[in-house]
Amino acid sequence: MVLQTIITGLSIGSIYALMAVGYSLVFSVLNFSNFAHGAIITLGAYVAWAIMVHFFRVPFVPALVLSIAGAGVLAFLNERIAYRTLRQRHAPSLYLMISAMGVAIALQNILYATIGAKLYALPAVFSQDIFEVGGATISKMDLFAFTFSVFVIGLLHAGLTHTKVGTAIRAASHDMEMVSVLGINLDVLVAVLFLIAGGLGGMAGVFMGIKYMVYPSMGWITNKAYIGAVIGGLGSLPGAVVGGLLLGLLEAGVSVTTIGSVHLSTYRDVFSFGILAILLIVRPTGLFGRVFEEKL
Amino acid sequence: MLLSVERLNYFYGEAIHALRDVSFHVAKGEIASIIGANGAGKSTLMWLLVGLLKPKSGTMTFNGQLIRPVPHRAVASGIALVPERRRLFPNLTVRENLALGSYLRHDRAGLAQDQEYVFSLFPVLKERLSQYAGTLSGGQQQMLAIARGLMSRPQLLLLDEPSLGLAPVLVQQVFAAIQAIVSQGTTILLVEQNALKALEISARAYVLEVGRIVLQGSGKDLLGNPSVQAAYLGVRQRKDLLEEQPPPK
Amino acid sequence: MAYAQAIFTNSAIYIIAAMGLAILTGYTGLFSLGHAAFMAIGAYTSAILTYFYHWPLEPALVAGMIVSVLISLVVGYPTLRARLRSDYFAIATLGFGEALKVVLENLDITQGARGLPGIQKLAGPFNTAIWMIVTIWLCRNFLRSTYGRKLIAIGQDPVAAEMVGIRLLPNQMLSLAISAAFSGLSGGLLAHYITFIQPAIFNMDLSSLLTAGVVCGGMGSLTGPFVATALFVVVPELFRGLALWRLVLYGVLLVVIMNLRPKGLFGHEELNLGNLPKLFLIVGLTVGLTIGSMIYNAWVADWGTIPAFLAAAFATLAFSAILNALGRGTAWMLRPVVPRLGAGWIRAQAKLLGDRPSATEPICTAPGPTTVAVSENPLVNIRGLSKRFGGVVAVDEVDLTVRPGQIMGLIGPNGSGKTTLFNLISGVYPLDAGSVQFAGQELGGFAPTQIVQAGVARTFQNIRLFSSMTVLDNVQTALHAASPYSLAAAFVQWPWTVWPAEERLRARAIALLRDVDLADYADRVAGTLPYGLQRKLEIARALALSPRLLLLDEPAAGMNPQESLDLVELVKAIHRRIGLTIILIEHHMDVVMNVCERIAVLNFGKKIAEGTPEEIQANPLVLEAYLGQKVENAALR
Repeated sequence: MVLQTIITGLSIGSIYALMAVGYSLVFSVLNFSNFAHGAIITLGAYVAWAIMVHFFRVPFVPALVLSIAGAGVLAFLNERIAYRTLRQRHAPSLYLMISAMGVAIALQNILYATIGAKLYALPAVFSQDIFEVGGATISKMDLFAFTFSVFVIGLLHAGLTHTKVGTAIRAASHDMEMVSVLGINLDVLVAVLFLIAGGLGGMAGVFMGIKYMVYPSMGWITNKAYIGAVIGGLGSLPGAVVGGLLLGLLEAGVSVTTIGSVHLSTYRDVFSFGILAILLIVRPTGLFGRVFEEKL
Repeated sequence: MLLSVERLNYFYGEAIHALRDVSFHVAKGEIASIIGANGAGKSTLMWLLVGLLKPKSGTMTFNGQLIRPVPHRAVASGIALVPERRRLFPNLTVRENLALGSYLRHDRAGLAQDQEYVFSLFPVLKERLSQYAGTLSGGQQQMLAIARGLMSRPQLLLLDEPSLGLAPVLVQQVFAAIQAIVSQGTTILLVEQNALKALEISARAYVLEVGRIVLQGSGKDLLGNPSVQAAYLGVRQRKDLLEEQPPPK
Repeated sequence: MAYAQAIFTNSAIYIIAAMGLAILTGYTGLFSLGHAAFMAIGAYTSAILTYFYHWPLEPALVAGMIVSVLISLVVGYPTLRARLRSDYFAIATLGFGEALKVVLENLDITQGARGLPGIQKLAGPFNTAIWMIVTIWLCRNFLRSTYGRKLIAIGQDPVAAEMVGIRLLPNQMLSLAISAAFSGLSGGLLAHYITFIQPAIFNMDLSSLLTAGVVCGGMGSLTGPFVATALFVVVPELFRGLALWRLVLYGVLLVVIMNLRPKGLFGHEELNLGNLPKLFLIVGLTVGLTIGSMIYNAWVADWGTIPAFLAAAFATLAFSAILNALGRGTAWMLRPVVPRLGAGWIRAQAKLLGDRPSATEPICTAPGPTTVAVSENPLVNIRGLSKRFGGVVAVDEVDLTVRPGQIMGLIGPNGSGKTTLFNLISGVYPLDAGSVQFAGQELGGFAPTQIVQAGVARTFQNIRLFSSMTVLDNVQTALHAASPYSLAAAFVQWPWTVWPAEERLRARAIALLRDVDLADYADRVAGTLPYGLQRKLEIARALALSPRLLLLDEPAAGMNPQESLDLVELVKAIHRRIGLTIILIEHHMDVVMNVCERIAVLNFGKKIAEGTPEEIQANPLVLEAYLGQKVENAALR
């Protein structure tokens, strides 16, 4: 039972981790909460639906790749339209956050207005195969999602530590101005950043779509991702991964607990919020978070 | 002249006239200094030269070309900045900080050569390549910052207060390195609060006071000029400072 | 007619919530993404009370407001306590909104996701309008009180607000509570108007509407959110076919406004003669659009699409232009009348209150020590103060003594630890070692607001004013400690307590401004002042705290010699008048040498010299610290 809970928790947790990493990546460099991330995730799922179900019958792997690419491009456009001017003007991060919120609202409702509120299913990519491990079951889909997420996050880590661009991104998270003085074009760097963050989001969206359904307000699931990122520490990528996984495990644990006759699973969202509140009291900067000391 | 600045003016917001009609030159292969008290506008000048700020009026010409307010072009055109308080990336290793200094370069042979050169100037860096820059001592950080600037093989190296926060022994080392760098052909524009040391090694020097160039000459000349000392510690009578201002009410 | 009534009532309901949210987001700077949750709390609480327990409407509404406030305090405490950046609060409100929806869907008494149908229709256009007017009146009163000014200060600059003695947590929670109260009221009215509520109504769309209304209306205004929220309710009704695109429009507007005009429609202004034409134009545009769409619908069949469209467009523009002209005309006519009305109001106030102290009575600027006589007991006694940041020692076992009434200068090269020392004294950084004794009290470990209360005030290197407030308000905000009336009185502007108190505060603020020669600028917006005057204002604000010790951090920074001279005179005058003890950090040597009785010199965080100006100027260690190592044959002396 415990093992099953852990497996369930890790499988949803890995998707939360993917979402949280994309969000934290942008936060760490640009120092604002990209609340439009959820919309990008949703659009990733819809791109997959469009090419796998609605317009074409593209098989899974190419569809996944195209969705990732599509989401990346959408994120790039998002930055270009909604954030670039503000960033160049050194606007306060509150303005960027509000602008992000605007994008989220607009995109979600464009989906409602054009495609509609109907829930769509992505084709069953994986047969209903399940594996048995020590008395617990894992579906092939979940196993794939988990493994692929781990792989991609590992790839991201390698990219950030072993490529020039990755090193520049890590430097920019500390001092963007200095990075530009060293000859790096910030507009290009930020564009790359959003392509990566968008790609990660798109991937999460596809997995969410396969695991559950595709619908316009699925972007609000990212609230969990934000909470996961806060648990891990805003701006920390390892924190985002750990936070996302922890949140997934916690939710899985809550889902199977029953106190008296009350199934706690219905109160899952309450627990997420409760964890956030407790964390903010006990350790506000999160598990791995940085403390920003303002120079007076 | 490698660098020519003519009648540069810069304002903070609407009201603060930070730089007033500043003009100066730096010839190829020499060390030029701009000294002055804190708040005189020295760092502002550095940021203007790398394009981080846009002047209200005036021109800055480097190698015959106008300097535009696009910071990432500075390195490409041959200017490297070693900023005040270093501004290293503490979350990156020494090796990675150096690599960012040479971000735009792709010539492997030249890079290897420059790395050797930099290690010869600052051997301590070679020993600590995998150490995070945030854990280095003040002196080591300054050396890394200068090394990072050199890795782009600049024609002009801008040094903003390299002696800041360093013990005298380290200051000696840094200034010795500065002279070695110049002897290899790099031109240096040095901005310092530590006037004596800067004047000692400079061929050409300017004194900046509340945004205006008030004295200029060779380093040796200014070393012997009592006005320099007075400008720092207010020994000069007030009326000297106010010679252009109307008398107080 | 019923249709127009419905639009009106809906607008009024949402405007009530928007007013509360304006206080939280617009004035206090806390961005909330889940305020629909508080509307839900108010709606359900009041509906349950009227439906199951047959309460009358008004007590039920108030009960809804109270429950909303209580829950907001529970939510606010953990999320605001850690003084984190606004992202955390925003995320928390998102999470809270979701959590509340889940709770509502699963409680028996709320009948879960099905909702509560059959609520009595106790709210209509008339009483809703009254509630709206009351709300606006209460909010307006609140924002003009000491409590309101404190919130506005926090929204402008939390660091400066703390340095003026305003504690962040309780005030932010107050702001949250107020916004929750009005959202709760709004929700209660909504429930009793549409008679059927379910958790799904109180979703992100609703929160977005409220947020968009405040942001687009203008953060820092009540008029703006009023107008914008009304527009957001009314305009979509004109374009019925675009129902689903309404929310897309909100989103797009948020992006556009942030990028192009972050101030929104009204910025920091309330309705005044200056922007009256703007209001008329907006109304005119809206009505014009209505007429235009009616014309289009009526004539498109007979005339064809393009001519009908052109006619509609013409009607719209014409109507807008007419109303704009009307607005300008009205403003022009009112111009001579308004000041007279204002004066008449003041006279009426005076009559109402009978005898009260005259406003021109001289008021002491600060109850400092009554003599400037130098006593033997030091006022400030710093021993062994140390502070490290990681590997860097910023302040290294510094001892410093300042006697009452002394002006002590603190100089040293860049990076020598001077500002860090100030930050340690004023409680911004915790001490690593050593002690700071002030008037016999140990300040180490105190919070910044406590240190302000103990009598220490400071100014900043980079001036930190509340730039969108007037000069007078900047000073008045610092006088908040003398807030002699209760919160309830503030909301109601109770004439017998609030008016005289505000008058006294105002008089005291004017007196302080007179001391620094800024009385003429009292109603100017602080951010528009020239730099030198801004610095003076910062000093006046610090003096308003009635400090016994004033820390001035590079007051002459960025000033030309003339401005520095003025500053010197000002500092000397303040010192003479009230015998204030002052510690001054400066790089402008002419200022330091002319003002300070004693000077301490820091280098590398250590005190390397102390003495009179003459002694310091002749001290070789000091010269060396600034100019560098001595060279063999330096011909400097």
